Order: sequence, then C-alpha cells, then structure tokens
Amino acid sequence: MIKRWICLLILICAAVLSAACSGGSGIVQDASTVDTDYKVYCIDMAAPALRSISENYDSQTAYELVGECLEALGRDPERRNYDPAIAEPLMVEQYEFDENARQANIYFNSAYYEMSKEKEVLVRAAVVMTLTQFNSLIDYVEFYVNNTPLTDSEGKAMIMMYSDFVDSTSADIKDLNEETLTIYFASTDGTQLASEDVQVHYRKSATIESVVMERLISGPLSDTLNRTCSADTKLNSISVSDGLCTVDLNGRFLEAVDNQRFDVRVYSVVDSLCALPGIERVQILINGAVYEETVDGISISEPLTMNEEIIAKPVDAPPAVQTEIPQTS
Amino acid sequence: MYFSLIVMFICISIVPLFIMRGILLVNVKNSLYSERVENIRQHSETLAEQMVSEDYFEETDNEYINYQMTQLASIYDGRIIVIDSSYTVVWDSYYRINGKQVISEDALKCMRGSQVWHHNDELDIVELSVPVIEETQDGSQILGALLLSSSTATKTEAYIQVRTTSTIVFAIIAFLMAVLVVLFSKVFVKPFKVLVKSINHISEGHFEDTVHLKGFNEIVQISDAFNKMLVQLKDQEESRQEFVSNVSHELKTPMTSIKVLADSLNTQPDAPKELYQDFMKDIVEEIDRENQIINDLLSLVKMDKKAGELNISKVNINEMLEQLLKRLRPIAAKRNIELAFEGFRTVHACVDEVKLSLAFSNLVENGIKYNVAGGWVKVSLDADHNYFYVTVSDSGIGIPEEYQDKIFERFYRVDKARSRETGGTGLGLAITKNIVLMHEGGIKVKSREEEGTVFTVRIPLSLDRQEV
Repeated sequence: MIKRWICLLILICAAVLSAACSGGSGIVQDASTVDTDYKVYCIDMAAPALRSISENYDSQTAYELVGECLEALGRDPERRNYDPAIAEPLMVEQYEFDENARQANIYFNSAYYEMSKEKEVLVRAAVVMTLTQFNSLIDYVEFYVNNTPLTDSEGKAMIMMYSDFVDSTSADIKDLNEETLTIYFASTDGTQLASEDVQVHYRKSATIESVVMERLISGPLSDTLNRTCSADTKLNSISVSDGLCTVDLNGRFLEAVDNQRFDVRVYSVVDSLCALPGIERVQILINGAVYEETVDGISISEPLTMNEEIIAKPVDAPPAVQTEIPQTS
Repeated sequence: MYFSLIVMFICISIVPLFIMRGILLVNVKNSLYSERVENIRQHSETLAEQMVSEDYFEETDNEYINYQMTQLASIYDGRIIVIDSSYTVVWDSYYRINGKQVISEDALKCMRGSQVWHHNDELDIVELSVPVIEETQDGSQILGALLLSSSTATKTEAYIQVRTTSTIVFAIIAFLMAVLVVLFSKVFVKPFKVLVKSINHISEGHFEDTVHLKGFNEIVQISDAFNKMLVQLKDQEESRQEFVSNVSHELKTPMTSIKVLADSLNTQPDAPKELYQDFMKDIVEEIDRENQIINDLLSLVKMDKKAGELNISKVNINEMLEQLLKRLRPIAAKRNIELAFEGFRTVHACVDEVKLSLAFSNLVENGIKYNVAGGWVKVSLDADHNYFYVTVSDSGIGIPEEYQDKIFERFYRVDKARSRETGGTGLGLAITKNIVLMHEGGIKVKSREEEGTVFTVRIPLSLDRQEV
C-alpha cells in the first residue's frame, strides 16, 4: 500500500521537475522539439555589451508571446548590474503581430530618437534578438517611432531578423574554407542575370551551398548589379543529394524586387547553385511545400536545371568584383 | 623526519623552480602575441588615417583602401571588418556579414574611442579593434572602426617550442635536485639514527658506554648533553644505593643497641631491679631514636614524592621565628647557650608555615647542638623586593671546608663519633634543604673550625613573581 503511494509521489515529482526544467510552457514549448533555454537580452552599459539572462515564457499564442517578451525586456534584471533594454524614458506604446508574415511591429515613443547611436543599436539588437529567438514563431520585427517606420540609411523601412546582428567576429581561421563563388544577380536593367565572383571564407562545418544562398540574399557588392530577392528572405533549409539540391525558402521569396520577373529571381537561385560542382538540378520549396502556381510563365513545382540563356552575354556584363591592383591611387 | 625533510626540500627547491618557469612562459606568450598586435596596430592606424583623409565612409568604394585591406588580411592570415558609426559592416574580407550590425563587446568598446585587443586561446587568434577618429576643431568624431583578427598559429607554435624545451630542461633539473635532496636527507638523518641506536644500546643496560657522535655542532652538543645526563643518572644511582645502605645502617644501629641491652638482661639471671630499670630506660631511648629516624625518613620521602604540595599562606616571618626560638629556649638554656633574634624589618611572605618552621628549627637546633657551652646562636631576618633572608649563626665547633658541600646529604655526619652523643638522625639538614628548595629558595653555609658557622637561607616573598 505504502509502496504505491511512494511510486505515485515519485512520478508526480518527476513530472513537476520536468515541467520546471523546460524553457517554458505554452506555445514556446510546442514549437520546439528539444528543451531549449530561452533568454531575454539586456544591456550592460559599463562594459559595454549585450548580455542575456535566462527567462521562461508561458504564452499560448505568438501575439501574447510578443507582449511577454516586451514585458521581460522592460524588467530590471535584478541579479546583476545590467539595465533592461526598454527603460524610461523609452516606452512601447503598442504592438502588433502579423501571423502570415510572422512579423511583429513594435511602436515606440519619441524618446527612441534621443538615444545615442550605441544605445540605439543595443536596444534594437536586444529587442529583435529576444523576439526572434523562438524557432520560426516570430521571424521579422519592424520598429515604428511616433507611428513612422524606422528606416535605414537609404530611407528603406528596416525589417529586422535575428541574423542581422553579429555578436562575435572571431573567426576560426584554422578551420576555414576559402572559395571563389559565382553568384548570379540581376543586371542593371533587371531583365537578365549577370554574375559576380566573390572570394568567401567560411567555417568548414558550414556547407558551401548555404553560403551561396547567404550571398544571394545579402545582395550584390557591385553597384551595377541588383538583388533578385528580398533581403528579408529566410533560408529555412538546404540540402544536396545525388546532384539534386533542395532549397526551402520562406514566403518572402515570392515578393518581387524592383518589378523583376519571377524567372529572373528563380534562375538567380538555380544558376548560382548549379555553378557549384555536384549540383545539376535545383528544387525550390516555399515553407517546406511545393509551390504549384505558375508566375511569369515559370513554375517551380519541378526541379530546374541551369538556364544559360537568361544570363547576359559577356559584352554586357559588368566586371567581376575581384579586387585588382589599382592603376591610379 | 626523513620524509618530511625530503618534502620540505622539494618544496623549497623544486616548487619555486616551476613557479619561475610558469611566470617565464606567461611573459613569453604575452610578448609573442603583443608583437603581432603591434605590427597589425601600426598598419591599421595608418589605414584608419587614410580612411579619414579619403572620406572612406562617404564613398566606401575606395579601391585603393579596399585593396590595401585585402593585402593586410592575407599578410596577417586573418580577417578585416570595417564598421561605420551605426555599427553596420561596410567591408568584410570574408564577404559574410556585409550589411549586418556588429554588437560584439570589442566593437562596442572600440566605438567609444579606445583600441582593444585580446588573444582568443580557443581559436588561436589575436583580435584588435581600432577606432577611426577624425579630429576637427570642434573635437574628435568617431567615424567607424576597423576590426581585425589574425591567426597566431605561428606564434603559438613558437611558444609551444619554448614550453616543451623548458619543460624538458626543468624536468631534468628537478629530477637531479630530487636525487640530491634524497641523498642529502639520508646524510642528514644518519647521525640521529646512530644516536637512537646508541641510546637504545645504553638503556638495555650497558650503562658504562657513552655516545660518540660526530658531525654538525648541534649533533655533537646532543651527544655531549646525553653523556652528561648519563653521568648524572650514574651518580643518582650511586647515591640511591648509598642512601639505601645508609638507611639500613642507621635503622640497624638502635636495633643492635637494644639487642645488646636485652641480651645482657637475659643472660644475667639475677639482675637487680635497678639494672632492669636502667637498661629499660636506655632501650626506650633507643626505640625513640629509631622512631625519630623513621619519621624523618618518612617526611623526607613524602617531600620527595609530593614536591609541589605546599600549604601556602601569608605568614609573618618575624613572629614565626620568634615563636620558634621561644620553643627552643629551654633546650638552649640546658647548655647555657644564648638565643637571639634580630629582625631588620617586618616581613610578610607567602610560604608554607609548618614546613618552613621545621626547616629553620633544624638549623637552630644544629646551632645549639654543635656548640660550645656558654655559646650563642643568633637568628637574623632581612628582606628586599623579591626575597627575605634568614641567617642562623653560631659560635660552635664549625665545619671543615672540605665537608661543607656534603653536610646537606642524607645521614652525613662530619664526626660520626661526636654525633652519636649529640643525638639526631643525620637527616635534619637534608630536610631543611629540601624545604628551602621546595620554596624555590637557596641555602648557603659559611664556616670556620673552632669559630662558628653561618647558614644563610633565601626565600622568595611569593612564589609567583620570582624574576628580578
């Protein structure tokens, strides 16, 4: 009789412990397959540095999660000498969440403009990194100050992602590969593709095809070329098997840039990847699924091969961006 | 001792050696890395100045500067990143993070205006951050920063070389030192082992042998002290044996007298009553004498055993001495001896009244006994801050100089024949000396034959404070 009670007690304890050990409950738990530690980012003005402390999130929906994150960002981290990212006089006036785009819009008061450049970049990093840490629940964050969107140096509204921020520039130099990649971007008029050669260094543990996609999304270095897909496109996954490369991108890939045609965008991906040895065909997926629609006369429901015709002939092509010895100083 | 000697020597010699090596290596490491940093620093400061003069952050397509940066990155086997005043990457020699914002600790610190560098041990690179500062009349403005990292694999290799060599060299030295330490310890410990062996040998019963040790001064001193102790033990043993034979002799003497008297009574069948009475008186005297000897012996032995048990109380010494003399006056009067007391001051001391009284009483009694008829015995009392002094002087027969040391020994009589007449047990002075020593005092004797004797006794006023 007593044995049974003891077993029950042990089971209860185990259950309680396992619940306590998880990073949170609710939607955050459902979304992740493994027990991850979630954090909230805060600011250490003394160092200066961006710090993180662990935090539990219990929201049931993504919208609630945004609110919970903002609240955690405004809370004073009691244990150490850190400041919360959102502190007086800066205040969040309201927030929205777009489920389709998985984008959170945060509205700040005008105190945002009074921050120093250093403070501002730290606050921005803290907010974005805290919101976007959850596996694909929230992908993008946009700031509004006094109801106007925050813009970058070129006047474009900034749609921020986790990967926009780099917290360490230390490179494992011993463990790097060096490759020259050929990336196909849109030509000046946007109707054809032109290539750009870039010498990249990347960690041996990363795959070269992911670096190609990274470069493509990042955009061309040369002024004479144009990007083919939105800078906020997210690469969900990429894999190569038997000459077939499967690229999974998020919905932003479907957005047109500079009124370019869909085939320009599609073949910038296909041709850049086929330029790699070992890849002959490319299958593009949108958020894990095959995209059935035909746009601008092209369909990505089937794997595609390299398209040479869409590439502008050499005479039109701008010079490759490989730094040459300058003639004039 | 052997083991702790070795441990101690090792700690003193080898441990500092390795500490030294550690410090040396840290310095070597630091100077190797900072050499690299210095080289990079100079180059990057030049670059920063060019960036300011060529307005690089306005027009980042400056081929000349970009070319220089590529060259720099490849010379130093590393990476160069340029960020502008909003922490955005405008150049990355690895082409990986263009357009992103850098919020690393080094970059943030650097953007506040100072150069930062550190060595990343895990990746074996050195990272240097140099701010690009424009000096204008209004002050300095930070336009951006250069973040450089450089592989220090070659430097680390050089360091590992030094470390390995030093490890081998120091290991050899340490090993040799350990060997020397062990040998030296053996040599050091040897005399002690010999000493132990000798002592064991002697204590097994070979009391005639002595210890002979050579070597360090201290070792010789130990062996000398031990030999002295042996001599003392021998002396003590001898005097113990002598004491036992003395005691037996002294106890036997009255017995013999009693036997003689009793035998003679027995052999005379018709002895008159007066003879019996006479002999009985003598027998009783002898029995009393024997009793007295036994009592004295017992109190001497008791004092030996319980050497610390003094019944201390504050005593008026003057009164004590006067009472003592009062008691002895009748005995002195029998032989017409004058007793006098001279107290120079009133003395109060913390002493055992009973014992001290006995001690002085013995002295005065001796003074009376070994005196001429019509002589005198004078007792005087004086004191200073620490001690009080009692002298007992007489006009008696005196003590020859050669026996003056021995009179304090048990049962010692200068003139055995004479003492038989005067009575006593031969233990009086021994008891007195014992009591004086128990009070941590001292006793001296000065005497001239046919003239007289002076005994001087010095007792501390209180047993606690004795130091001068």
